[in-house]
Amino acid sequence: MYNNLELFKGTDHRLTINRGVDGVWDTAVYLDEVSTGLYESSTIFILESVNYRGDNLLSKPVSESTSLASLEFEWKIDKYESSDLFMYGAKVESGITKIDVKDTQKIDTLDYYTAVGVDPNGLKIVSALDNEAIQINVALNSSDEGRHQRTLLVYSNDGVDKTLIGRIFFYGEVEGEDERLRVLLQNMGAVLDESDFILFKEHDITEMSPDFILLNQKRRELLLELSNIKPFIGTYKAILNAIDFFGYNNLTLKEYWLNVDSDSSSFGKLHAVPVANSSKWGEAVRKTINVEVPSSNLKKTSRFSLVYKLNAPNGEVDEWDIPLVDELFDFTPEEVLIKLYGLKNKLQKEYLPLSARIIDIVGEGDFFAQKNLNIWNNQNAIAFFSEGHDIKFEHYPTKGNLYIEDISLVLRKVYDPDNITSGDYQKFHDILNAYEHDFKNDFTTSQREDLIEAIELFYESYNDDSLETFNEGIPVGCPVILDGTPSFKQSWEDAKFTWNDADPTGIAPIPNGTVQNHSGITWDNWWKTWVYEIEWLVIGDGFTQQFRGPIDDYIKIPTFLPKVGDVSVEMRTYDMFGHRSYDRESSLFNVKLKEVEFYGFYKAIGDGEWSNRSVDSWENTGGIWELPRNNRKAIVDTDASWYIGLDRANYTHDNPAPGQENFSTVYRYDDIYSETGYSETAGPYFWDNCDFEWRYTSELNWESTRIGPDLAASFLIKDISNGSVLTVNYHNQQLNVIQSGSVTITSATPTGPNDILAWQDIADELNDSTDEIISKFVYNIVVQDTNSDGTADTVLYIAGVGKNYSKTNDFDSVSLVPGVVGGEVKQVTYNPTYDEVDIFSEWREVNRSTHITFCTEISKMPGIKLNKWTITNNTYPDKSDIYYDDNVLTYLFKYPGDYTISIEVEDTNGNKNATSKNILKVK
Amino acid sequence: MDSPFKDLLRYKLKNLYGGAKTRKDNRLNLGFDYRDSLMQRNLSNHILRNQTMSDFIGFLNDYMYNILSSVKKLKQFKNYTVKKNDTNIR
Repeated sequence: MYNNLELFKGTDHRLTINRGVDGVWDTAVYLDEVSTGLYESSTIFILESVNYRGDNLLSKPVSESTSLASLEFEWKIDKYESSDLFMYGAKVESGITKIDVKDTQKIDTLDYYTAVGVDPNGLKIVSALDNEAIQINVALNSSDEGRHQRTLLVYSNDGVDKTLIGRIFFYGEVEGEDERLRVLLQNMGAVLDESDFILFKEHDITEMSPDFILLNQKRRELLLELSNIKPFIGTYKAILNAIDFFGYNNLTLKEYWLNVDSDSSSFGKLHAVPVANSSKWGEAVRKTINVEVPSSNLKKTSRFSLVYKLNAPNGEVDEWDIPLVDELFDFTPEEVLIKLYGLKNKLQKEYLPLSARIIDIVGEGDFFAQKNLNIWNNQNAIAFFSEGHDIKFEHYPTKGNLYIEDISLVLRKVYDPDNITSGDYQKFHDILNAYEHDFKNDFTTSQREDLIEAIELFYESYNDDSLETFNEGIPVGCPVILDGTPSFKQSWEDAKFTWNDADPTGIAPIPNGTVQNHSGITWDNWWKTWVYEIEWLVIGDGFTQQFRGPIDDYIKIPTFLPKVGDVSVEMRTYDMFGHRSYDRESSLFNVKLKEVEFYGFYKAIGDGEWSNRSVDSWENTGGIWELPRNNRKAIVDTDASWYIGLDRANYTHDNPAPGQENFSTVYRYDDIYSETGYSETAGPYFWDNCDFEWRYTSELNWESTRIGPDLAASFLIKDISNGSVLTVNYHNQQLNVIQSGSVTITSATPTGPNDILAWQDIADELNDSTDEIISKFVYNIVVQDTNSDGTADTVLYIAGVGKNYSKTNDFDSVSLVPGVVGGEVKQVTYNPTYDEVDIFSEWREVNRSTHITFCTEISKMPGIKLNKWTITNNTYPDKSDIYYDDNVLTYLFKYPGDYTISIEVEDTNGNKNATSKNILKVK
Repeated sequence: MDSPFKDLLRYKLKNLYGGAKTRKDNRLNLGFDYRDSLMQRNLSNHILRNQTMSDFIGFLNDYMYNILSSVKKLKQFKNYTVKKNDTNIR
């Protein structure tokens, strides 16, 4: 029966079956040697060779009885049998799988009808293949060392007959502890207890009892190796050999060294250095570490580490040439916990010096990454793509000092401000008004063009022009031109493209938003390189100017720098790709102020004796008989201006307050109660103020003590009527004859003082007179609001006043018939004249009682609006400094001393300047 | 029913695995092997005819044999290079 059964010992091999004459087959299973207390198991698979679709395959045994059949297994009763060999299965108790020892087993075969026939070889023919084997588990576990054997009988049982079909002989040997070895080791002072079995590398931690096969072997090895360990306890050699003894050839022992070099960046840190010869790998690693131990920088710590490897390179590389590694699985996490910690304790307890400690167990892995230094030599064409533009700009003037200038002098190069009809007047003032708006002047295109031309002309003739200017509050600034043209190459040779490259036939938007059938590049705009706006930023001390606009209008701009000091300029361009390019030049300009200058003058008549004058002839003297002075200075060399400084009408000042009287000048005011119709203030020379002695007034005459402007000739017509004849006699000094002029009034006689219209008609008639003498005067009615109702109602008189402060407009006598004329005042020149004035810019010695006027109109600094004068008496420092705020300093010097005159000025834009002169000595 | 000798005679089994290592050995002067014949040679066959007595004397034989052979085992006790149950002892 079951002639075609096949038996397998697990997956190891097929068991040889010997079939006896009784038809029962025999086979034998030899179990591996096992330690006492441990299990050695073997699984027997029983299959049957069948014919399945013509092939000889293995199948679960098929019953040979039509009844339900099974195979039964039970142990043979034998004299030498060992019950330590047993069959087992598995059972689940309370959810836990446990070993179930079985004395017998009964396993069903396939149904008889699974086979549809028998082939010529005696193999059952099956239509469906079920290759699930009948499995028998047999184990050997014994506490007794020695040999164990037992025979398993195999029966076929179909419920009716139980037939022996085979015998399986099991044999195994159990090895127990070799007590000799333990005793011998103990005799030598070494201990390797049963509890140490878990420390061995080869030991399976899942075993529940000591493996005496391993333990016996290790004890023998220890007996052999003990001579290399025992004498060297406390040395590297002992611990390294001990590690090897326990089977950890791949374990590296590392020692920690403490860095005690205070200059090192690793000071205070531990270095793990492999202990030499601990393993090939450890030695290899140690060689790669550039740490020399022992050394003066590394201190021994007696701290060790057990290091095992997680992986190792297998010599292969991946597609990126990165070495591949294999996981070593030397230790599972459980083994680390059980074995390595056990080994650590064992080593510390028996092989390490007392002070040494193994402080950690480390798994090390090698993981490779690619770190390449790649150098490419690409042959691709490299085109530089520069975003933005290389900004360069120029400025004008390019050299020479730059000063704050009178802007009107610049504008006069292109405009004639006196020509109203040509529009120049308006243009002139439009520019000035634009500039004066916080200096952020932004001009129109035409103004910029005119200004560029004006500035260029201004500097071209700069050294030839007088540049004289003396007006308060006039617009001033330093004219410059900023030119961004160098940023744009405008010659066709500079264009790095051909005209076809510009694709003039393409379609592209152009800046104004429309679309035209070309790329937007034209002969007129290609040089702009898509820049559509230019912005200029001018930054100085206290001001910022910012101009931005189309490239065509702003590529070259004029501007006036209002303040002195360093000025930085930044040019920015904006293109249609969104780039803003800029170049900034710091301290591009350094603007200065021109020096402030002043001079002084006073009237001096000399000693009044012609005999003291060295005059070669009367024709060559500059004086007149009444003024015996000999002024040899040519008028062209005179610093003073006859119409500014020397005309006191420009700076009348009346302040009789104490301490201020010395600054006063004669000030004329209307006075209807005066015979002449006006009165005058005293000026500085009045009795109480003249506390100097008489002897110091030798160079004064009465006219020179009247510090005031010239006095024009005047007379008053107090009563006049129709038919009155006004006659004026005039002394022609050139001809030395009396000339007479008259006019007869034809206008109606005023009915009274309140007939203002009639008086006005008469005044108009006099003004309309074409008589040469009569027309030397201007005639105005003088009215008064007698009832204080706010409206003038009464005519006081008609005032006739010479049209100029000169003898030309003087009279010798006046008469009116019929009528009344009075209040005649003849012309008197009180301003300094060439004959009597003494003008000085350098040191001068004068008498006390001398009134001196200091003026600044000779300064080239334009736009002076605020002067602050300081008079310092250096000889008598106890005299306080005297301050005076006005454009012209007039002062009566009464006290002796050496004087310093200082002036601080401020121009229209707030730029300040100062100068000081030790210019005067009052004796 | 289990055999009355179950687990009692295992020690008499021959060591198959170790025997393979020494089957070619040709050792001399090992002395007479009384392993299976010490008592049988010193007792009457009459006594041994009873199977029960024969089996019992078999145990006695083994006991006595062990006493005699323990003298040899003292020699191997300190010789850890051989198996502890090695019998090749003079």
